[in-house]
Amino acid sequence: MNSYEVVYILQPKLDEDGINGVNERVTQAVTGQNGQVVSTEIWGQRKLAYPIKNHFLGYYILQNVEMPPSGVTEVERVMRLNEDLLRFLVIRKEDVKESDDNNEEGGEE
Amino acid sequence: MAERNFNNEDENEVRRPVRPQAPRPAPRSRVDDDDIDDDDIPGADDDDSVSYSDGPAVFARAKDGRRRNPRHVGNEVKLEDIDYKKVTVLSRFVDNRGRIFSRRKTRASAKMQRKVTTAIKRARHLALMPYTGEHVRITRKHGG
Repeated sequence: MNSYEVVYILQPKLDEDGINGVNERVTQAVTGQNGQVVSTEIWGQRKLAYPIKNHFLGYYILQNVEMPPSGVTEVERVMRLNEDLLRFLVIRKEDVKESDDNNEEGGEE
Repeated sequence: MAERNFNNEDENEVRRPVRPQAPRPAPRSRVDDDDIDDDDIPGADDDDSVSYSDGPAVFARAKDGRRRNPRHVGNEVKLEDIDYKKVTVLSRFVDNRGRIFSRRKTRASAKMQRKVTTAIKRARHLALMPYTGEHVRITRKHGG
């Protein structure tokens, strides 16, 4: 299990049902891969730095997700198939481990 | 050297003038009108894990349209502060047309410069930052 950060941009004309629908689809894809959505952060409608598919605004959603590495391709595939989804980014979060790590290494015997 | 907290200070400074009026859909509360089946909604809407925020600051030109000064940015920014979401921090590593400054100008360590470039490229992909000056021009023309 790894922690991932999934960000995606929805087209701005989507109504609330549409947004929830896409959200649901992504969440399902994650749980389908034995993962879970830890938290969701909605940035809402923002100005894009450049137009994407002639849209100047986008609806941003960030989800913190835990799933096995093998699930990433499937989740990305699902997102790629959705036409209301303008862009997405899935990255692995690395800096989670801290002092616990050092303790394990410290013991020599 | 005076420690500066870019995350807070800078964020507020740049944000205030630029912040859009954020027309977001009113979160859920509209459903309350007829209080029948608030709990039966399948979307699991009343989840604590869902939060609303404005997200990262909007990419903006340097103040007064002045040239950005990249000198020693690398020494002032902390390594942990480099993240694709922190547009205000990243925009110091970039000129008005969105080009990434060289390491010679920013004085960033190799490690930092590597992190900065990947972070900027991620931010560009998500349209948080422009790829080219053309992008800056277009969006400004479009009521930006």
